[in-house]
Amino acid sequence: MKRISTRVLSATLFAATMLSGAYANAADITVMGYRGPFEENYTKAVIQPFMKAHPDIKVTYYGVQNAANSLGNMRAQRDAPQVNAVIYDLSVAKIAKEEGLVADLDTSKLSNYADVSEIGKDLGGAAIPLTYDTLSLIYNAKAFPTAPTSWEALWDKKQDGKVVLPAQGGGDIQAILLTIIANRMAGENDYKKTIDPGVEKLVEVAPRVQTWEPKPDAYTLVANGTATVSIGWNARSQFYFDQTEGRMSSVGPTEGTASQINVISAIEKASEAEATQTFINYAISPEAQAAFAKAMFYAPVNTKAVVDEATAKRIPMMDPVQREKLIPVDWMTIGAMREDILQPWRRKIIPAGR
Amino acid sequence: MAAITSSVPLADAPQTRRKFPFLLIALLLPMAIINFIAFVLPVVRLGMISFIESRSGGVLTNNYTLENYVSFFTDSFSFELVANSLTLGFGVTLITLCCAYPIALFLHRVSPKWRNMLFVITVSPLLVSSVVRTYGWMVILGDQGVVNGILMSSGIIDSPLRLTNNTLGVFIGMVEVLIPYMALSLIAGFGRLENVYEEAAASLGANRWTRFRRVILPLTAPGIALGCLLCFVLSISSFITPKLLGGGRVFLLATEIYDQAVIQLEWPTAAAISVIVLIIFGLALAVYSRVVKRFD
Repeated sequence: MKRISTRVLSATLFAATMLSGAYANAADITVMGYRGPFEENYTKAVIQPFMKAHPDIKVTYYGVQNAANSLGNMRAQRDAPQVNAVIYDLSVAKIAKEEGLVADLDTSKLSNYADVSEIGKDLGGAAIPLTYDTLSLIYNAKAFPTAPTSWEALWDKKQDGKVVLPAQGGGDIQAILLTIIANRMAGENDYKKTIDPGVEKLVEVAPRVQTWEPKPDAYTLVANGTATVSIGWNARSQFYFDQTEGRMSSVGPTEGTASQINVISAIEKASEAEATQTFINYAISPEAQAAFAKAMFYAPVNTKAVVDEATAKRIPMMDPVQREKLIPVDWMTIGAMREDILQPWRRKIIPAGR
Repeated sequence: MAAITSSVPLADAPQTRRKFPFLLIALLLPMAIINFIAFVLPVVRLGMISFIESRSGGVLTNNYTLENYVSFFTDSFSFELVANSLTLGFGVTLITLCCAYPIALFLHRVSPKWRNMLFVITVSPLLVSSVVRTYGWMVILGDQGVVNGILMSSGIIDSPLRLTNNTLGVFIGMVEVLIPYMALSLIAGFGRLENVYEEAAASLGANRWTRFRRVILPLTAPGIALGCLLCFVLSISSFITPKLLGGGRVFLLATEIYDQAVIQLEWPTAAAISVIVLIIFGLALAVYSRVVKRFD
């Protein structure tokens, strides 16, 4: 009896040692990012192929509503992070970096970093560009037998009460970009000098606005005909174009548009730093970038990513003409100007439509 | 007097005194712990955040300042927020009271056979989430909604009335959401109302209006006070209905807290406004307790 027990004990110890060894080699990381179609497509196009190529690293996607929610979670978990990497907006990443919430990765250790375009590299290893998107004019195809080509469609008197301008809580990034675009339409190209002409132009459209806070979102209201024209991100617009079988279309207007940059950061004090770095390097690789561009119509940040022609045609950032007309926005200074740009929305623009 | 006091059986009295606080503490302790963890600690943390200094763009620093409160009280927009919230609070409470009072009075008087069923019908909207009900109002009040559809198809109007995405929509939605709460509070406070008082007043020659004004209203006042307090607090802190039915045009303290925290990323400002809203709630409670004391 005594001999058997010793054997059983030895075998158990051996198995436990082997298992713990195998477990020690495996890494489990969590990536926090936007939920909804982004989560679904990112998991299919990037995370699953990554896990296939790296069976020792398990990646879990944790979806949140927006970049601000990500920042909130990072603040709450400052001393004991539960996530390893975060996908969010560049302007929010700047706040995270200044608060010491994200790690400053050594970009020389990321083999794909050198191939990443220069746009959005402002924060170095603390926020690595992941996707580019642009603001689009979205419209109901039935209401516009001839597709609009200009932002002026928003000011079209025929669309009275059918215009939707998303400015939740007095405005976010979309409202900031629309102010800059309206400013240029009103003749002032430098938003850092003044935004007054843009504000005046937006005051004109206010009485025709149906809602400043579309529910569930502008894409749905335009698709179902509750509204006829609005603004939205190109990637989501293309996704909804397919979902609604073309009832909702989008266009990159002739006056040009502005870009939005999503970045990926490693969380400061999080475990599995090496596995996180391996994932981030894969996320900016040509294959991951091309796969996600095909799935969700975000412009790839990796200059070596090969995107098929049909997909590229639906991404304004990949159109040389549109890219040439891209309105420059300095996201590093927008944070400081945010209040100045958004204050007129709550005090002047939105009240003008009451 | 001192002799009488000392003549009380002393053997029992101290024992009762010793046991009573122990039992009281034992009964209160679980709730006190839950309240401390789930309410006191978060409120203290909220208060601390409201004094944190934030740099441009919402970056939190390690410094403390009064700036968040100073900027709130020196900004005219803040007063607009307070005025909008108080208008909504008082307005919705008054309309809800007018709508719920006859229902509650009817339920109080109806025969017990029907009372239970009618009572369930009155509070049944609470079985459906207020979010779902608010989405329902979006469908009913929208430009292509049921109301505008009927009015336009019958030729009464040519273009849709703007019934939602504005303050009117928020009022309609809020009143509907709060009617069951008001009705419940009123019924709970109608305990002193009995038919005999009305009959006595009628026998003394009081007409219907006088009976209502001099008998029914004073006797139901505690219920009115309770219902008004509940509806005022719920409407001033309401967030979902103004967000869904306001169309981004209705700026209130509650929506401002969300916007500052989630859109503008200014947590200290959001925390400062939250503390101010808490103070308004405290004032409302103080007014309520004074009113109730008057009727007791």
